Amino acid sequence: MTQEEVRQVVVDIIADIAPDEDLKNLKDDIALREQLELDSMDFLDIVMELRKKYKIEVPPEDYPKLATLGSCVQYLSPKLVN
Amino acid sequence: MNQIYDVVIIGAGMSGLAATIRALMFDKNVLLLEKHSIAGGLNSYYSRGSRDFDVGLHALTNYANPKLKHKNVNNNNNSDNSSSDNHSSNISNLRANLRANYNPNAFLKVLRQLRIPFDKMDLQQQRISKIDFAYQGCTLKFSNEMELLISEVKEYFPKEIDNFIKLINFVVSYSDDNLYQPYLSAKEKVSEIIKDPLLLEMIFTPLFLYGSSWENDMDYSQFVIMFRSIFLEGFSKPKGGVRTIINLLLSRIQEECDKNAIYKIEKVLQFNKKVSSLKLKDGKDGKDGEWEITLHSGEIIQSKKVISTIGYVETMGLVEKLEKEKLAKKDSEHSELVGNLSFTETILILDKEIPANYQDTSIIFYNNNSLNKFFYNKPKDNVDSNSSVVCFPNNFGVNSLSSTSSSLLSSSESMIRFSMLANYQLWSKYSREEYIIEKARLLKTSKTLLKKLLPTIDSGDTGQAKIIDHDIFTPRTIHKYTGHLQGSIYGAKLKFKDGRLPTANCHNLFLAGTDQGFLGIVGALLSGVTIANFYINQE
Repeated sequence: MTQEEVRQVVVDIIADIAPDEDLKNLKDDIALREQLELDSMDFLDIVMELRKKYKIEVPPEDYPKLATLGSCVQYLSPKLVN
Repeated sequence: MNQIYDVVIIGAGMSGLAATIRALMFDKNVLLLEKHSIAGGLNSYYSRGSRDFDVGLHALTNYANPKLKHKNVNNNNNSDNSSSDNHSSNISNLRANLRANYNPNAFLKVLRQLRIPFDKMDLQQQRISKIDFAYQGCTLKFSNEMELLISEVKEYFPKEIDNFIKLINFVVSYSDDNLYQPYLSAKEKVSEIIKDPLLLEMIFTPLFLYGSSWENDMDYSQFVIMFRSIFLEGFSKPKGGVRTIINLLLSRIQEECDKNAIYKIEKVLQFNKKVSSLKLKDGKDGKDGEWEITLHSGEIIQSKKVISTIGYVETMGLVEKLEKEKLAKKDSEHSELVGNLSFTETILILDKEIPANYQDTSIIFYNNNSLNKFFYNKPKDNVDSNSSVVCFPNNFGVNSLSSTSSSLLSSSESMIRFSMLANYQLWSKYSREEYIIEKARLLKTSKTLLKKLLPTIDSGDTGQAKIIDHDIFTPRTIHKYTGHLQGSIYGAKLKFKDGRLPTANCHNLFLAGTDQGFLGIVGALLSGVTIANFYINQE
């Protein structure tokens, strides 16, 4: 997957979890929590969807790596090779 | 065929349905058992003749519109600048506090966790609700715009307006993160701020009636939650009533089952399955084994975990296999553990719309007592005829002449519901004949109250609406259909907020629902979601 595609994977998951949020103008370097009303329960759902849709396991110690869209792309790209 | 479930959930009320959706989302092998033939629990529905009725739901609290963040904050600053007296500056400080610290989102959060789009709830907001202290001739109006209640307090309790704003600031700034805060009397705490005893009683009245399991008081953290969810956020109701909510939850269960070929909804959600006992089996090496759930039919089910939504004492009754009499005895021994507060409900059907001059009112919290007090306790008589919650299901949503705001009835008819505090013990011991007589007496009491509130109805005047049908249910009905001891609707005085039972041998058995402590429909859904999130994935 290209970086752009990986980014889209994450945005699609967020769109699924938070259908009422506007995701068009998300910044890659600002924490998702600051741009959207996501709380810890929602982050756990992002992890759950990654596991269900892409069979990616994110262990709790790696949760901070999902803080921004940019860090998500960096962390997930090697795991989303196909 | 001897399968072991990951989790068995007891009770298909709001919390059980929500917990089941989350369990399915976690890909768990889940079984939801319901003793009744339909879902909903304390918030359910039935039909009689051609008419549909709701049980429980008058209105949802915690109204929030995802398209209007910080909706309670009036962004129009004209009113701030037009006058510079003390109250206005207090009010604009309050607005600043709301803007900075208050984000009503419990409801949106729970919908998001359940993946239910907000628009599908098809909510209609309340018009105006009233706290009506008839004896004192004092009525306070409130709506989903908090400004209304502030202006009402300013008008009727001018000396208290600064205190009232101080109270709101307190409520906004209160942190409810800590589940383990010790119980604290809300009456004592709030009376340090609100000095007028009448205003104090009026503020507490809707909060008691919509969610206190204590008599004449409530825990301070519960007060804060209720104050926010009713006065700062407000009421709304799905146009289709409680069926809309239950059907959305059921179709989410269906959707999750469809995603996984192993699950069939008729296997996941089983009705007419009453649990008769729960037993924790011994496992290997002295560890606890699985739970063995025995049904009335004799069927035995095994599960790693159990989430019970049926109440604390009710659950312990299953664990300890107590006989009915012994359980009843346990009730009286454990006044902290079995709720004392139950209600009757009288439903009146009118042949026409609610008269135009009464269409602005969604809910009336009525109290008629000479003692400047609202008695929120188990009445000595079978009902407390001095107080009632009167709900007008048709008076929700935008009021327009052609509107038929509730889809439960055919367009020309309307409905009024009266909930009154009731004494379960009295209702439960009546013989069949006595029960019929007492229900007739309750109908008369409700009609008398209707005459006071809406004098023109059933007056015999031509063109005025008439009562054409009624139905009544009592604490006895609530006990029969929900199994909640004493027909209690807000559960025990003691709550188990982390969902853990403080009893030995309850490993992997968790509580959700009323006795977990999040009350109301939004609270119950949140309870099911949080308990499921917390414990289902835990090893």
